[in-house]
Amino acid sequence: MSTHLETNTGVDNRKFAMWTLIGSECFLFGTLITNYLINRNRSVTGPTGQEIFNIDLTTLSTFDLLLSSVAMAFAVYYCKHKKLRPMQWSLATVALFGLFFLGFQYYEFSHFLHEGLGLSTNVFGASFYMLTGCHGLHVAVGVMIISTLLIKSLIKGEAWFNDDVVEICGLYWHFVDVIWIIIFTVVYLFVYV
Amino acid sequence: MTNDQHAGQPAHQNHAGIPLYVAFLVVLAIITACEWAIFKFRVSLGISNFVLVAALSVMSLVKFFMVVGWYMHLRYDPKLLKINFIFAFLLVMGIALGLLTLMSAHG
Repeated sequence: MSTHLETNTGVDNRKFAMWTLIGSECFLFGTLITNYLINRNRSVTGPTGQEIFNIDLTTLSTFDLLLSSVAMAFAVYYCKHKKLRPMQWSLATVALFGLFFLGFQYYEFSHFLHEGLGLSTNVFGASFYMLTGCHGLHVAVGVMIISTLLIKSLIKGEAWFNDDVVEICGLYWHFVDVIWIIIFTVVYLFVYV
Repeated sequence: MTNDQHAGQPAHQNHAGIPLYVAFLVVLAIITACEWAIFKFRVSLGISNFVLVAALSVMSLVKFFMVVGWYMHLRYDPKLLKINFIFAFLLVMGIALGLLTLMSAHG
């Protein structure tokens, strides 16, 4: 098991740093969500969310992220219990579901562009792409982090069991999922409100 | 002592296990399916906007706290980390609600 230095807070500094980052990310996404809510109905030209959103597809991508979250929880659990293969399979599953989500988002954005909604079409488009694009960027970074962990564990094998690092990366991944839970409700399900 | 290591116990002993994670996944999936169903059948069920927003917000918050509390282990983490996150989250919610109220008041 990896060890960390004693700290005067009693908390691993890296874990504390990740929770602080997550707190600051709350402000970032809070700003983007508020910006979207203020501007979504101020467009003078279409298309708008009511015309182009596909809730079935978005629900599917929500399921996808939820599955990735439980796979990440499995990875942390198996790492703490020194089970290398299950941990590697779990990490691979997380990365795969992350890629699926990015695929969903690519398809959705392509469809919206085809329907005439670009970043500069109207304020709805600008605020929508900023919010969901920023989230997608976080997912992409998460996939890279998880893939790096997986590759390191594959190279080093049993010698590599860094449960602190896997847990901290897990925190980031779960946060990305949590943000999507809010975006799914506020952006997609509130579209007619 | 503020954390499990200091109390002489490995942290993971207090964490949830695989069966609980799977149970939570099932609950999260059911809630998401309910959200989809409410959205899809809101007109035929005659659900007003107020009820729609209230129901979907509550379900979203339940999912939010399930993931943060159990998958992110905040439930088992020291008070310092809980305060760190909850303070930021409440501050963001307050600012967002304030801004939305201000903007709606000004049309």
